[in-house]
Amino acid sequence: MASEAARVEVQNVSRWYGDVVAVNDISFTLEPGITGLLGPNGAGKSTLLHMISGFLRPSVGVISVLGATAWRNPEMFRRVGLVPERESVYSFLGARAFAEASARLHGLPDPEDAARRAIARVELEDAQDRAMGGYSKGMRQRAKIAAALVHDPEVLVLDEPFNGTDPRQRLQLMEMLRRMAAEGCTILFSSHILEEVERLAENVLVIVNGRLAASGDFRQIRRLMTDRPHTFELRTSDNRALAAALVGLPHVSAVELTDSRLDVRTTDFGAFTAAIAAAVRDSGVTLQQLRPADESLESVFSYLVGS
Amino acid sequence: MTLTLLSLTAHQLLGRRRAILIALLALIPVGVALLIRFAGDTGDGPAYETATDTIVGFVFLLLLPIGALVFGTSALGSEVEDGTVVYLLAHPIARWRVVVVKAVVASAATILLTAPAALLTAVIILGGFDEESLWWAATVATVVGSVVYSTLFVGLSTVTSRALIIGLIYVFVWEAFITNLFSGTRWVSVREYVEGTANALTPVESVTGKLDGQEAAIASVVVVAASLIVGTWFLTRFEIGERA
Repeated sequence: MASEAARVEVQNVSRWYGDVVAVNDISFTLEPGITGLLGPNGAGKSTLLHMISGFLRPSVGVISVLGATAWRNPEMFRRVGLVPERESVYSFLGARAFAEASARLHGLPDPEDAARRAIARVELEDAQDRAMGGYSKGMRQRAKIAAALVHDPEVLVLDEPFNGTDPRQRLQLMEMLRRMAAEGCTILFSSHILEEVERLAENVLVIVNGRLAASGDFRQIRRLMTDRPHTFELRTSDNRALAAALVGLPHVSAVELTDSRLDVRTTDFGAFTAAIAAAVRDSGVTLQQLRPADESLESVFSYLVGS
Repeated sequence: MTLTLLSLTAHQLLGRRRAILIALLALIPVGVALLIRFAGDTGDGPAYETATDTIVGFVFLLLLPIGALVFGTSALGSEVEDGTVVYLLAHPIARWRVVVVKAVVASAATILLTAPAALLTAVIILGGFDEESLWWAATVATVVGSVVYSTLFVGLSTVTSRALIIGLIYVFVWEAFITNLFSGTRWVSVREYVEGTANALTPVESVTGKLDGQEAAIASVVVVAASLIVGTWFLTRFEIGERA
């Protein structure tokens, strides 16, 4: 099934709502395999996924999926599957009936069989005939995924697919997506959780404030994230003495004394954490607290955008 | 494909509590008819005037537009609102087909609700199937009105998320007041199509209409076609809201 052209091609795409820019001049291409779209909430992940699945028109730029424009192209869903973020489902249907309805709407020759296989893939057989209204979040998520898989799509787009799933379900879903990718499916999923992306995606797109902050191999991005300047907050028996010792270290770029705290900025996370114990011992102070500041994902992201 | 779409829509539309509430509404004209027949003073012979007043007042002006509003605006609108429409649209289905199926289901539901009420009201008050065919005129006009109103409101629900409010204003302000003030507006009032159709089908004098039968039929077809075209146009350009 390998085609020469990229499965998904996003070219200089922006989307704004009035004065608010949700997605700002993003370009990338996707090949078969798993790509994670990583970013904090409100970064523009959903807007981007909606545009790729033809449910939003790009304000400028072009998105093509399997060689055709995504916007106003329902025919593309013959080869594309979409798992939307919103939780609402047809609450009166069971997962099997939902998947089967999806198969019928695709006009598949054997909808019962397609639904059966999709339900088996997400391991929802036990609850398949219960109305989805009574499902847990994780079960609903899996029912939605089953309905998006019935036609064995070549491109699968999932918006926050692991929301509400428990760790076991998450592992199982990840394993299933890996198998699909190995079979040649192009999978794009979004997440605001670093670990999910790290565990599943071979390829990562980091999006912050509507801009593509980084893209490529996960390890590379991970390094970018760890090699940035870090700030540590320390409390010791003698902040001033330790500050004097730390300022001599080559990878310490700033030291600041506040009332009860010592803030140290370093350019090398690894070297600093290796050296701090010795520095404390040598200056004869007692270390009461050492913790990294600004470790939120948002700060990591904004660093990436700034770099 | 179409069958699945039909059954999903029917399930969504009729499986809800509001469908039951609306069904209770249909009992009002029938109840009024029973009161008139068995407790009122209708004199000798068929009470055409009373029957006309009851059918127009309770079916044409009340039950019909309310039923069509509820079914028409929710057939597609409630799915758009709760986001489930994405499951439908993420399939290779021509958007006109979606709009037509939604309009058909909404129309059928409205007919199911209103036509028996119109028929029963006429038959009860007139003591049977009258020779002047008022029962027939009332029923056919109600069916025509169900289709036109429902399709109009399905179309409207693709344009705005406030279709219910706008529909209410259309029915109870525009049709009820403005149309009475300016006769030129009779062409943009579904109520006039309903009354014109009824008027064309019975010689009963108390049944009146500002449009003749042919005009009403043409206007009905135009409104239905326009609603389907507009609905398709907007659904083709459907965008997921930014609330998600």
